[in-house]
Amino acid sequence: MPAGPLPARNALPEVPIASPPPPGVRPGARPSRERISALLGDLSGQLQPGHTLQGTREPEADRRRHPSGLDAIDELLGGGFARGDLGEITGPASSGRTSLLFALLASTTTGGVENGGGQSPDGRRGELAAVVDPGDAFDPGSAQAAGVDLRRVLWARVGPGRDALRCTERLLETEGLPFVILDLAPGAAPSARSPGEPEIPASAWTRLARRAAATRTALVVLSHQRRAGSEARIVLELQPARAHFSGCPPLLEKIETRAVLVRHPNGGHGRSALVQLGGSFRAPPPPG
Amino acid sequence: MPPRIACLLIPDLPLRAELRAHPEFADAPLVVASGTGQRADVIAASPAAQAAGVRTAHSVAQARAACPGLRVRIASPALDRAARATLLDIALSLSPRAESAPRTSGLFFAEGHVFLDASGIENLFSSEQAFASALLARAERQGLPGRVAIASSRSTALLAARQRMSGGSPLHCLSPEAESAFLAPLSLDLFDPDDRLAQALTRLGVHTVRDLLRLPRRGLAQRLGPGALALIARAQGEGPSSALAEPTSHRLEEAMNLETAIDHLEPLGFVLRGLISRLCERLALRGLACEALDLRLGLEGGGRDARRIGLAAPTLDLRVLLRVTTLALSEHPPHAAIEHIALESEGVPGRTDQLDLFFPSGPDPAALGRTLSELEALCGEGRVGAPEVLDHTHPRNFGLGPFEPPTGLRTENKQVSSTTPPPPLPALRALRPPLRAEVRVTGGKPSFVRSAAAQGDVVTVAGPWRTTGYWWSEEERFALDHFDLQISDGSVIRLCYDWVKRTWQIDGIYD
Repeated sequence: MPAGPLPARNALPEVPIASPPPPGVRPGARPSRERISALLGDLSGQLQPGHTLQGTREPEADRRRHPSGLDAIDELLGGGFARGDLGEITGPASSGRTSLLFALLASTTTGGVENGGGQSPDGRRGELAAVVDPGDAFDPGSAQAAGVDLRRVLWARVGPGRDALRCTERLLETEGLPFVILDLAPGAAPSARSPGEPEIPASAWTRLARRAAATRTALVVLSHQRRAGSEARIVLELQPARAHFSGCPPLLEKIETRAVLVRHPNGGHGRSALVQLGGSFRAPPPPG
Repeated sequence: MPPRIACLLIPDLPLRAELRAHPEFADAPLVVASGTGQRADVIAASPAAQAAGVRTAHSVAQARAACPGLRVRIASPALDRAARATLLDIALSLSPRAESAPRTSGLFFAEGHVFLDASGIENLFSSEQAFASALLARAERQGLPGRVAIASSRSTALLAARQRMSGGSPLHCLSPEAESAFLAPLSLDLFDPDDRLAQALTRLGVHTVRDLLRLPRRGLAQRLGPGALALIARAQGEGPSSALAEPTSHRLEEAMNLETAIDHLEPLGFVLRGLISRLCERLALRGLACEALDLRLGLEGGGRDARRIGLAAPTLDLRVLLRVTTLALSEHPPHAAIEHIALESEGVPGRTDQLDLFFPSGPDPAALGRTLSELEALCGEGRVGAPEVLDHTHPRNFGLGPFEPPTGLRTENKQVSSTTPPPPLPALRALRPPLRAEVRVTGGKPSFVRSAAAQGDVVTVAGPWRTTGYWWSEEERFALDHFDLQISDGSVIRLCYDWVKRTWQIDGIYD
């Protein structure tokens, strides 16, 4: 420790930039470990350790979320899909992915966005959502029946492949679109039907996740299996249980599915809930 | 209070029109010729060519002899028209009323000018000089440097702009009191009288406005022709009494003749970029945006190709417009090489929206417009928008409308029903086009299904529900029997039998 008063906390250390090197030290030589330690000691008040950088993200409790309106699912997700996060909903056909998607859309477009589990600031007005649909599988009639306000949904019927990613990226760049869905679940198009469709490079997911974080947009990816890897902060896997037919003659009433939380920033991995999709939607709050 | 008229004058319009389209020749010795061949006249020469001794009215051969490295371009009517229209756009960016002057054919045939209403501009600008400076600066930004004069009539403003061309400041603001003194010593050549009248006046020794006004009026029309009276009126500062009009059309055009025909998309992209860029700049001057592009192509061998390229929302984004245009051309390429390109657009106001203090803000309308246009370029025309459920029973009872979400301040017409709606079915995941299926039927109902989407024994079946319609149309008639099936592989599908095509198909999966 050098003698004399300590430097002020925010004062820059006095490092002689152009001073001649000490005797015996070659000009341009690397500074010794002791000198680096001394410099870091002086700067310690101004530098933050690496793990605190993560803290620059908005606290989880304060983040606005997009709930589904399905109690069991929202409880698993801690209130819904948070803005700024990339989330994934995976599962095979008839596992309820699309029903859950419509529930999320209905909640968003009719004003169910909650603020940290509380009431939304507007309390009644719906927000905009975008659906990137490379499989051309979005059914407007079914979405309307699920309570989605179609006027607030931007439907992009893009072709499969990289255009879908470009489309999603472009939507994420648009401020004011808080909820974007990329539907990569198999559709009727041959290239979209096969689960082994062209692999999306990890760098593309990184880019999408960063865009979503930068514009505070909730990006939800629907797919047959996990696609986004570690870039997905929330992964919800749906496992089909059974379909309920009722009455005579029988009528399809609802689909029962098991939702398993695979990944979540708050933990709780492996927690699951049995959800009935179809006839058990909670009615969305009426606009106005 | 007398009206105030500003005149923006470009003395060498053919040269400037050429340089707008070919900015790479800005520093080169360049002349614009009246036609092909060595005997064609030079109608405009660049400063570099003038420095080498080239003058207007030289023949191309003389100009080449004076300047060996000379570039010669032939005057293009399309570029000339676009440059003149740009002058009007510049004028309209600063005044609501403006008129483009028709092309003249005399001594000043190479000049282009536009008149605009400058009355009351001191409410917006500190002085007429400041207004003229702003006008001149805008013209220079569009590649049309010139001169500006402000006076009480069109003819005086034009003369003031012409007079200033001999040197000095490019701005000239004449107060009403100073106009007579300004006009008196002017040479009559500035009025560009017709040859017969000019010869007659020269014979009489009349060379200036002062000389002309001294002539007795009686019998002047009989001796010198009716043009003499009109000339006197202009010499007294009187011009057309009609007021300048507000433009009624916002249709703008940029066009170009290509020196060599282009048959590849990549080089065509460079040409289109220039055209679209200039069109966007002109639309921006008028505060408008582009909602659709009308592309007209003149093809090698005399053919023509015309197409309309729609956009999802008005935009001025060059990247989006270029992408949409090249996409349209790559999807349906013209059948021959391209010799002439013309782009037209009807300017429309950009999207605006009144935001609300108490509702979450939506996207910026202009940014949303750019996004929509770019998405349409990626997805294709008519494949981006708000989904709509159409009110009929056709299997394809959906559409895509323009994405214009309701805002907080607009009245929502949505009726809120007091009764609880029936619970919805599990969501349907549409298969477009429907997948063909092989189906085994037992007892009138499907018992086994094999397709790319599902395969196995039928566990539960509900249906059929028959839908028919359009029986009067051979192409559109349909008759479908729908079944909801649970298959042993776990999937729940919507199967239908098409009575018209006599096929089984899966048109959706409950998911």
